[in-house]
Amino acid sequence: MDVDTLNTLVTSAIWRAEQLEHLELDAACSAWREVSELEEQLAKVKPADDAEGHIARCGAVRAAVRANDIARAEALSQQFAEQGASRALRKELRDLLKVEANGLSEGFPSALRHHKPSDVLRLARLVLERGPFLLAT
Amino acid sequence: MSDSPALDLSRLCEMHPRLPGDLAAIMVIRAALGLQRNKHADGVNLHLIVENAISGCPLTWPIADLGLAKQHDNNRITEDGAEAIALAVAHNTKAWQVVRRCQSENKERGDWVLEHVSDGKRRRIALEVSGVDRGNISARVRQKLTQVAKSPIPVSDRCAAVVGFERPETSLKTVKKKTYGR
Repeated sequence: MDVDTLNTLVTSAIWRAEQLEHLELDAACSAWREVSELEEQLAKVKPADDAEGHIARCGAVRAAVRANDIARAEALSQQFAEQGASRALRKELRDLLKVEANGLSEGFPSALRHHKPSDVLRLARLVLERGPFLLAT
Repeated sequence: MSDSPALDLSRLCEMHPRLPGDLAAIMVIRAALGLQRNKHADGVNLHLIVENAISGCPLTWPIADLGLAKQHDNNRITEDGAEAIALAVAHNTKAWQVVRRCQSENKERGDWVLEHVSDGKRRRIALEVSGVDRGNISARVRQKLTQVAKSPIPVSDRCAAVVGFERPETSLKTVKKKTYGR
């Protein structure tokens, strides 16, 4: 897919995800996942030191966070950092994950001292879905 | 007083070829609803403040059915409608074209990335857009300029556009480079 097509698709996807999030609909999560995937595609064709490459890398991580897919956000952040991101971009990517970790630390301060945010979030979700006794199984 | 050619919102897709057609259509409908609920008729004079230059132009749009306004969120009528008008103004006054939309949250404060191509050189611009349904827009312009100045995106220029539906008016201003990142 060429860059113009990807830009048009990501514009559509962001707008749709924002509208769904504004209406507090569950479908917002899958819409943000789609945004993250399109941003990742753009990151593959635009270098990290280019404005659009910078936006795409931050966008891929941010959209994964908004899709509640912290494992993906962490993996993308690490991948972009290893692929020649500038110091400023690396800091920005870390900050995006920190915002999510700060939110988690309010609810699970002790767990976050011993585990990665993605693991804490996964366990928190399991507890919410299946109740506290699952941890004993 | 109108001293420029008409700004026709129905041509938004021609102005910005990368703007998805369905998105442009709903933005224009919301602009029409925002203008019509403020009692404006097609061809009203749009007061323009671009950087420090004041001018005006007739604003035209495909008439919307106000009875359908209930199907749209009130705030989205103002915000999405403002985006349609701001992008049309950016094209007509600066020859800028949409590259893509950005996620508007936290640090990535530019709502849109636009480009200007001149003599083979491509310049990219971060544009933050906001709408005001009733009242003065000057405070919002200052607020948006401050926000977009903090954007970490490495673009050539950072701008803010605020659209007021009551008058109607649009202010499009560029952040002075020395204030970037403050």
